[in-house]
Amino acid sequence: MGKKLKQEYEDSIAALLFILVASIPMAIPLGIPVEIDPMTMTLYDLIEEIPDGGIVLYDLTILNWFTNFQSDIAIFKQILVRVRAGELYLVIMTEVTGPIMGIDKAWDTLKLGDLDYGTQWVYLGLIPGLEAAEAAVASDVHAAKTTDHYGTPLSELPLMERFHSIDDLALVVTGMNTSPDPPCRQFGGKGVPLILQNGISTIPLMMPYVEAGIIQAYMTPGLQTAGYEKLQGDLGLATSFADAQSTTVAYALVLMLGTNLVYHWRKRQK
Amino acid sequence: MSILRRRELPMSLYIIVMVYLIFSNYTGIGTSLAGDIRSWGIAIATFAGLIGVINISYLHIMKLYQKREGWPYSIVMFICFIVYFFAAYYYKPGYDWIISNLSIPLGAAFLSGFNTLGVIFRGSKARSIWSGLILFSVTVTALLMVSLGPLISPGILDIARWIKDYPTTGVFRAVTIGIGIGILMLVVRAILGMEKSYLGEM
Repeated sequence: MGKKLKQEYEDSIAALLFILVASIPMAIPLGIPVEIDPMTMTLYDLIEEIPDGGIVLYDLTILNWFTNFQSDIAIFKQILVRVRAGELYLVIMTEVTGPIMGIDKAWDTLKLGDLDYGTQWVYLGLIPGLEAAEAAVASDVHAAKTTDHYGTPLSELPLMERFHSIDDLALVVTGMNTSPDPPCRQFGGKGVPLILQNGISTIPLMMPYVEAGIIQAYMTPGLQTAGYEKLQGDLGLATSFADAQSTTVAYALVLMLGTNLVYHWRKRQK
Repeated sequence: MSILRRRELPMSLYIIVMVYLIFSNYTGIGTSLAGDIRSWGIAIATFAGLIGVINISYLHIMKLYQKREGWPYSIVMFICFIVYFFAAYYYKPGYDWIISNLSIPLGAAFLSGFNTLGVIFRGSKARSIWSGLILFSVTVTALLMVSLGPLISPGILDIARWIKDYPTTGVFRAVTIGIGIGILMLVVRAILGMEKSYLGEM
């Protein structure tokens, strides 16, 4: 313990152990029970209670397939059950280029191909400008974009005849991993329920909006999404990662304790 | 000085457009033109992508030209950019392969584990009572986020929920209010012609 390892060796050993610890559940599934968060119930009920014929706008702003996208996929799955039943209609847009890269993979995962494009769902594609895009879509989507992602004029898509502004929507979902302020400013408080899919670390940022009734429900990757998948009865990425997250967090805490013990021991030696 | 080079012109445009948008938003008058103005914002934002390509290309060309440290990585960057660009437009199977087998797994490896690991390993030393408190908060909050948490101690999770619901949310509420006041200040300063950062002035 007295001889100090080179920093790069320390980092390599820590990273190697991280991989090993994350791999443990693949060999020995821990099977730790996943609880369903009250916020998950709120979100689930909110989607179930949208009146028939409602249009849902899904605004994707991030592509982290194994983190935020697991939550997006889970929310999409619940919405799509009702879209397939002919009860809801879905319009998807992105404000940044990231989601576009993985969108085809997402469509395959969600089996959107078996839906009637233009009638049951529409993909608007990229509307650049972040908050400016949200503001434009909320006020007049046809002014913000004249064609969908595939170049079809919006005027030729039957679903878009019913969607002009936020007043025509039954629900807005924004998938993101950053400050919730822009969607809350542009979509929130306008009489349409707002769901945010956002990173775990942003929960404190979202809470003031939740308490003010601007965000009706939120979903975060990891444990909450695993509970959501359990509620839907359709286990996905979050469930498969739940055990690995437990082992890696345990490892991180051991690592934190270890580095502190070594730090203070070395300090006392000096 | 040419009228086009004087700062009064862009300042006037900025102020008139902003006042008009605020007026339209609160009165409902002239919403059609306001919608058009917002669409211009989207059109301008489209050019941001082009500016990004120009900037990154310029940066790496200069790095290669001057043989600055790490210049071989600039070659890698250009190869990746060109391959990715052409695959996206002309070879869909190759593009899908890049997304599924390179982009997504590498993104997951970078975002999900190793950068966090570095922070934990190098940055989590309790050098004072305050940093010790932060580490304690991090520990209990991390346990709240995983299914292992309730098995270790339900009591710790109650502390974590309290930290999340009261001190942290309280702080962020203050931050949110501060941002709101800041935006209002910015608008007032811009209307009065005191805000000039968009002209490249301090």
